[in-house]
Amino acid sequence: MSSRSLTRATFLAALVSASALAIATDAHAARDANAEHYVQENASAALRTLADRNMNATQRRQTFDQLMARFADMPRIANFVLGRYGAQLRSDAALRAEWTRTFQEYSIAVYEDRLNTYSGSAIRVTDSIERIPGRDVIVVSEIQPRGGGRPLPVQWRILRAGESWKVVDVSLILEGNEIWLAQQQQNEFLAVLGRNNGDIRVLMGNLREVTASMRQRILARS
Amino acid sequence: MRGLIPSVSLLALAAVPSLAHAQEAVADPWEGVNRDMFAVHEAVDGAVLEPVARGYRAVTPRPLRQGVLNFLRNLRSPVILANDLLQGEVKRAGATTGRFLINSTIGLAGVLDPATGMGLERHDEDFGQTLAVWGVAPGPYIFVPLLGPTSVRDAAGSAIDLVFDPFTWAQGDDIDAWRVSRTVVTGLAAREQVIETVDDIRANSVDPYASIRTSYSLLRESAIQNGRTDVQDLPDFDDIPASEESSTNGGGAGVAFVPADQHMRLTHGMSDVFVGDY
Repeated sequence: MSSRSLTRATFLAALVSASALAIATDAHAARDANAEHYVQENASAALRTLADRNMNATQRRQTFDQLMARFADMPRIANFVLGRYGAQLRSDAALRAEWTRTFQEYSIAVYEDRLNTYSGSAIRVTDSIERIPGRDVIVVSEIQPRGGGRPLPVQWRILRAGESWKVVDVSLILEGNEIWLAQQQQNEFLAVLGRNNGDIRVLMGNLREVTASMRQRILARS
Repeated sequence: MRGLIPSVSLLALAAVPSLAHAQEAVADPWEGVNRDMFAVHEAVDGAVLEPVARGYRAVTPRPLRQGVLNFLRNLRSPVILANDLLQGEVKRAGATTGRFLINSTIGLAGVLDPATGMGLERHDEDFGQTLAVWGVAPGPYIFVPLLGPTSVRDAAGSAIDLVFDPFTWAQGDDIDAWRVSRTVVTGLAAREQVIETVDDIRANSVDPYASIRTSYSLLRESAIQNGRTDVQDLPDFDDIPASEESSTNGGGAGVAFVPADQHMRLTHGMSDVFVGDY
């Protein structure tokens, strides 16, 4: 064997050895059992609701909306997605109320448009990471699709406000890459606001148009 | 940190923006032209790409389409391996090598993916990511019809990746036909994967152009970090004064991100099509 081919073989062997190392799992930091329980219970309840055939579509949607209202911190999310433009809301309570309502209605329409996708899915919490112990925790879970298939990794960022936890952001890990959806939403809204001199009312107008369009589509399907 | 990165690039690495910084606006000084290009892309897509992709889905069973994807992904292994090594990621280079050896043999030339079941999860790398690891900023955002979103850095990286691709150097009578076929099938498979994603963006986004730009930017940053987010880099969510909160928290509420299927498919599509992953 020539020295060149030996070098190649050694190189290849090193890579194959490294591939064995790649299978090893990583250690991880402190967990928060309380936060994990919160996500497991509430997300499971939401998924059970979607699969509950004892309710008609309207009842199921209303129950799901109520669950999500308790599960997610909508005022905080609505504020976050405006980024720096959210400062306008501090001095205008009426605008804050109108914006939060508009954003909620848009959000409801988005998920109602796709409610059936998760019917029959199951969630399994697998881990958690404390960002601020007892107050700001990332809960790691997997959503097992209906009918099998590879589970989808989903992370929930939850904040404790008073005695209760609330979800403020969700991340998906796809092909190893992660995206936090409230951050994504914020970026999109900032782009719209940036093109309209930061006018939140213009963004609300756009959202209402999209919401109305989704509502029509949902209605046509039902 | 990112494995055995050469010390010379450590300082440069520190300049790579974290995910937390990714929430800042994407540099898009050519937005006017990009939006025009996006409109061209949308027109071509609606007239040709989307109908062809739907037809492909209609006439092929899911396992066959998955086999095509696996085969195409396996062909990219040399490019991924080269970039793993250039980034000093020995462990990931090992995974890429292991996957290639296993899938090319037991996996019937890459059509099957038994390596994943053995714990060798798939990942992607490209020279745009390598440049980012070396500290090169993305530069202006670009939207290229048919190819989708990219940046100056990532477009240059795509050109360099051709050097790592054995197909570039392969010889033979039919090699040009193979190259064209591979490109066409890659595009077709990628478009088929994001049919619902694109539908959702068109239907639910207040600004589809901005939505794609945002998703591209966030997923690219995550890819550069190899999906490893430091939770301390996540942004803070401001407290809402109780008096204001009580006035805005009535009624049934939804969650923009829990209906994640829109975003799941959106981001899935972005990761597959727009981050050079197929």
